[in-house]
Amino acid sequence: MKRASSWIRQARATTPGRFRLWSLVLTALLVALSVLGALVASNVSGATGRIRENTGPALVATQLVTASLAEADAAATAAFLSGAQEDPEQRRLYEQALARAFQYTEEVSARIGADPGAHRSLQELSVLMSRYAGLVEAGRASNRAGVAGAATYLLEAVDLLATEVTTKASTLIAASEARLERDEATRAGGVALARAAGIAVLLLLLVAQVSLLRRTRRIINPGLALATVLLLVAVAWTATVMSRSEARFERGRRDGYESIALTAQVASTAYKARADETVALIGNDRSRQARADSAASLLIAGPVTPAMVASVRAGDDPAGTGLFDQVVRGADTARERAAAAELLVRWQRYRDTVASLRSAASPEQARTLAVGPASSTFNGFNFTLESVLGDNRTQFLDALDGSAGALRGLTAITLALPLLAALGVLFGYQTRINEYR
Amino acid sequence: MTHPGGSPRQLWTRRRFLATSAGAAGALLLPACFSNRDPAAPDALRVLNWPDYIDADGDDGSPGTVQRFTDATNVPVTYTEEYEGNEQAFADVFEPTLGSGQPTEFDLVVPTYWAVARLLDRGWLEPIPIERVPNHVNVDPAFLGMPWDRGARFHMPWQIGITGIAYNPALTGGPINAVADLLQPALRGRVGMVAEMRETLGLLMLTQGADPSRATEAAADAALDRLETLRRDGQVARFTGNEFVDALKTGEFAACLAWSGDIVQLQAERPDIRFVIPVEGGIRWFDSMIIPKGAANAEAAADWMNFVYEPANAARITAAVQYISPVLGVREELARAGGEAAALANNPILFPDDATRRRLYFWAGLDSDAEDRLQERFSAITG
Repeated sequence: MKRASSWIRQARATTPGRFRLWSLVLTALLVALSVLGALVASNVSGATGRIRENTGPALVATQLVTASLAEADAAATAAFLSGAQEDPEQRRLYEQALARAFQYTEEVSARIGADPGAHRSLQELSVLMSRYAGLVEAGRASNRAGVAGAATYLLEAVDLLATEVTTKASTLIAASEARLERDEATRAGGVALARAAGIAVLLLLLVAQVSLLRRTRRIINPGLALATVLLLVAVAWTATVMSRSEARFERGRRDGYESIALTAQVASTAYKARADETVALIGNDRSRQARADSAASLLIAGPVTPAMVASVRAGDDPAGTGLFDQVVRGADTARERAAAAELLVRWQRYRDTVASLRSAASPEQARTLAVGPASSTFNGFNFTLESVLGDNRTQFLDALDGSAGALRGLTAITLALPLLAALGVLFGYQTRINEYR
Repeated sequence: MTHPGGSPRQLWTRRRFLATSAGAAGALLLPACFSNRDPAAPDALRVLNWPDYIDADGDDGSPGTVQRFTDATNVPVTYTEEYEGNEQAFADVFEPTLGSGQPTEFDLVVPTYWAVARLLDRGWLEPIPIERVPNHVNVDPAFLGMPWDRGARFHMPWQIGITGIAYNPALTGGPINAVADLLQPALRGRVGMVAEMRETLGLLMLTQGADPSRATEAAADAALDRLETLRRDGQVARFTGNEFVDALKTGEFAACLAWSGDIVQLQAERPDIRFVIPVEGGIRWFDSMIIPKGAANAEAAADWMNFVYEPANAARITAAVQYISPVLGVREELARAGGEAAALANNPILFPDDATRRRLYFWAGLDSDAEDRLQERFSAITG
């Protein structure tokens, strides 16, 4: 220590010594910056990759579990309504939707990593889903056998889904969202520090260059100039790449994930309206009709008119606050607006059939309408909704791909360029020092 | 059957063509290609469809769909009627181009649904620009739920058919209501089946309690075993395309598996011939419009889809080809048109009710290796 401090004192006494000191300090700073930059870049890339590979898909899959279960429920009740001669189409839809819901839970499980709390919630959700499926099967078997009380099983299943399953799924969604927030925070961690350090070292290099210029009244020192340019490139390139990655990430969040969350909310609300309507018919319970209307009004206040559809296609923002209005406002391309317009048209067709079955002359006629046109129109709405969810999912995952792709090579660049700059500094000062020998 | 132009004409349906061409694999492509303008026009829409699967211009000069599309949109159309069958289309059209990343010569093609699923699986389709197809809302919901394309974002159905049973009551001695009825000894050697694997196997699977819409290899093999026995025992006289029409007319077949559209046409001439959807259920199939990857004029293809999904336009096509339309509102349009068209609106084969629809099954795709193996075995049995 003493020797080092004595060496520094001696070095400060002469011009070449001071140059040596400057070169060593700058080199040390550049090496430190290189290590810091690489660590931060690796952290950002790692967090982005984790979001792309795990957190993002898990979050999407969690939303889709809910949507698939709600779809299964709507199909199960419709199949039940068709009586002993079960509607195979609705049964198929039920089985497919339930299978998808289980597949999504498996996907979530595979992607949430070592999170005991989330795994426990998922396990509990799976148990509830199995219980739900069991009740549906019991109702189906009794229905086909013409056993009295078959509806009780189905009504219990519907309530189980509407309460416990939905609550558990919401817990999982909240946990997935929290994981996304955490990964996003990790992604941003250290970036500001590395950026500030880079700018500070850049300024020091400029000071060193100016100082050399003043002292020697000569041309620019090529080594220092090279180091400055390299560091400038590293800082600018990193800033550009980070900002591009961030922009893509945000776009994915806005156009992808937030749209998924909104569409999933539309799906759940619509399925709830459908299930309530069907249960009202099964249990001859008018209060469930009121619940169905209440759910429907969350989607859109009043009927969908052709003028409204034309306006959506034209890109006008609706004034309403319903979920459909929010979907339309979030549609920022002609394709998305067309999909939103189709959703509106198909929803209204379903609501029209609901109005017909409510005014049916007899319960039998109402059941026929429920199993026929109401099922068909609702399926039309549902499949359109699924394609919108699919588009959102693709947008989200593509944007995450883009965000991760934009960071490709970042670690190598942030490591290599400052090191090369350090070599430039050493070379630049050494050439000046040599002039004193 | 009468074309929109009013001139009666014997249709050579896409199914008839399929059957004929199946026996002449590798035959020359049909030269049936017509265009309403310069076919080489760079902005022309290039459509590839099955032969006689659309309303043509009438003898009295009334325009068919192709001409009316051009009149409405100012887009010239090169309409080619050379789609010879799905396997052949893969071999001649899709594989050599799309398989090596090149576009085909067409902007719009009309394969059968299982071939569409295969094309989509290989990434050979463009998404439909639905922003140009507001009439996408008229797609019958039954066709939005295909597991391989939820919401029909890559295809729009063109026409639908049902494979059921046609019979001559005078020759069967009574009604035939089930596929099992075709297998009674009294009909030995006077029964026909269709040479389309997915349909014949699907119907036999239904008799064995298996669901073709959830087909498994084991269930399909069991159906093939049954078919082999029927063939060996001489219960089935032969397997046909829609030559079953002539066989029914001449009395060679007392009963057979048959395609709905052909029987609707035959009934105009022979009202005594019956068509039923078997009690076990019927097989539903459809051909669908797709835009191949890299198509130069995808926007015009979308405009075409939008045009033919206008119920009034779709109704004219239905009146001509007499297959089931996938377009909502066609029935009302036919009823409004009056005359023969209105009679079609009440035809239960063209417009099956909900109870009937519930008894119709699509063949669920197996993986392509399995389907190839089944096809090979089926061909060996049917000869």
